[in-house]
Amino acid sequence: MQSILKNGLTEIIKALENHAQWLYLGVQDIKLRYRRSIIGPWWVTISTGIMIMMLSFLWSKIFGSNIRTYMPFFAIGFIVWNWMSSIVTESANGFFPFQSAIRQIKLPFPVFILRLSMRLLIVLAHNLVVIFLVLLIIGNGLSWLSLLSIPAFVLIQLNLLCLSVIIAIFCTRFQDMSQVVSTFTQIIFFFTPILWQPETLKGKSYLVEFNPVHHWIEIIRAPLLGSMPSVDNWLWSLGTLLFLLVTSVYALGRYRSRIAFWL
Amino acid sequence: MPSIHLQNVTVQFPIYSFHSRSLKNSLVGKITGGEIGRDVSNHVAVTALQELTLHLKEGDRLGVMGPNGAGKSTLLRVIAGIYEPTSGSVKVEGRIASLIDISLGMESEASGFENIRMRGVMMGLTLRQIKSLEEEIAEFTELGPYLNMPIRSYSTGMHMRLGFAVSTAVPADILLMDEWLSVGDEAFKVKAEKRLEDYVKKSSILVIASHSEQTIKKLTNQTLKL
Repeated sequence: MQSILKNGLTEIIKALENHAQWLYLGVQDIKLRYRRSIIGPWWVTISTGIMIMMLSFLWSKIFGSNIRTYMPFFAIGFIVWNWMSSIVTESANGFFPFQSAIRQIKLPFPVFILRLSMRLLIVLAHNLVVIFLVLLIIGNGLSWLSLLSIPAFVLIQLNLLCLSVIIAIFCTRFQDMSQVVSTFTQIIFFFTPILWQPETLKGKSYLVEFNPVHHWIEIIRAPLLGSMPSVDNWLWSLGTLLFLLVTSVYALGRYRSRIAFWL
Repeated sequence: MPSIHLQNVTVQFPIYSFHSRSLKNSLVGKITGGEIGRDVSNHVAVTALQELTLHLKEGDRLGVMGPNGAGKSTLLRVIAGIYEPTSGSVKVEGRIASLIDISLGMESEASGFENIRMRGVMMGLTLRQIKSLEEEIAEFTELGPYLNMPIRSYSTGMHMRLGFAVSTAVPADILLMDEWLSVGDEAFKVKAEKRLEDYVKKSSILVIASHSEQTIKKLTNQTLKL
């Protein structure tokens, strides 16, 4: 048990040390993807912007809420969610997209996960523009409190890294699991306050209290909307990190040497 | 000191039949047990290497021969650390370069220069180290202005030249090769041959899998028949 955890941990440390292999290649992935388009990744910003404008209009009418409070809430939740869910669904492809490299040279496996996360982080960065525009034009602007969302964001990014290591290993071994993962991701979207605000639940608040994804989103969203994230948000996010970290280190240590055979 | 030590190495590939690859079936197998369980979890395993012991030290040039499916490539990958043996132990010291697939990590949309960098990064170089090698690589390929164009505009031969030049630019202690490489047109072939020979000379251990008696005779000082 101890040596498994130690192996897993060295694998992660080695991956972090090889930072060129995910920093440079992650950036390169984005560049190549948008090479033939003039405004490149800003298409993401434009499409997210349009989507949020139209949907905010629709949903605030349906829920009968004020668009000035609804739109910032929805914009942040939706963008953060899109970032989270694309990390999860992409890691559900397992290590198959990287199989030619894996069969060829020995690299620590988290390198591939970090590379993928790097690319999606850049996409998120482009979408941040939408969040800022919505907050400044429609919402109440930004305050010093908003800065709190940075450490919160780091905490969630770490959660997601560990989670995607686990998912990638699992989905490499069991190929049909990627369908299950994407189905679940869709369901979680509707169960989490992104489209709807938690206040609408009234007496049934347990529906969000036990949903870790809610805490992950809220901890980033609350400071941007000008309120402190609750103690619960922090405890849940730290708790899940601890759990996911141990599980991912164990999974790496235990299955690292098997992954090449599963491909 | 670069060295390779394999002790009683056995490598088995689990062949997951279509059925056992799904979680449902492995759960059903666990729950039902008995007949179905045996049937479902019946992994077929192919033994690629069996009880192989091998010690190589500096100056050794090993030629690996054997028919298709004898485990030549598997052996190379075990040395590279890609496959961990099912049983036995592997200890390899020294920097490994693998020339198994010279077009690894090439992106068709990226330019020649970008591909040099991406490939270099994958092989574990820092961007600064690559910068110092870039010029020499570019010159060797003779691709000139093409290096600024996306490599999807390259012909197969040009493609190979680039991959070859990058692969042989970084000196390594241990060199793994699957067949001798021959790239480019007549003029380039001579040049490439010379570069590869120099590259092999600089490495301290060579392991090459080949079907050609001639290659093995020319390059190696010992032969392993699988």
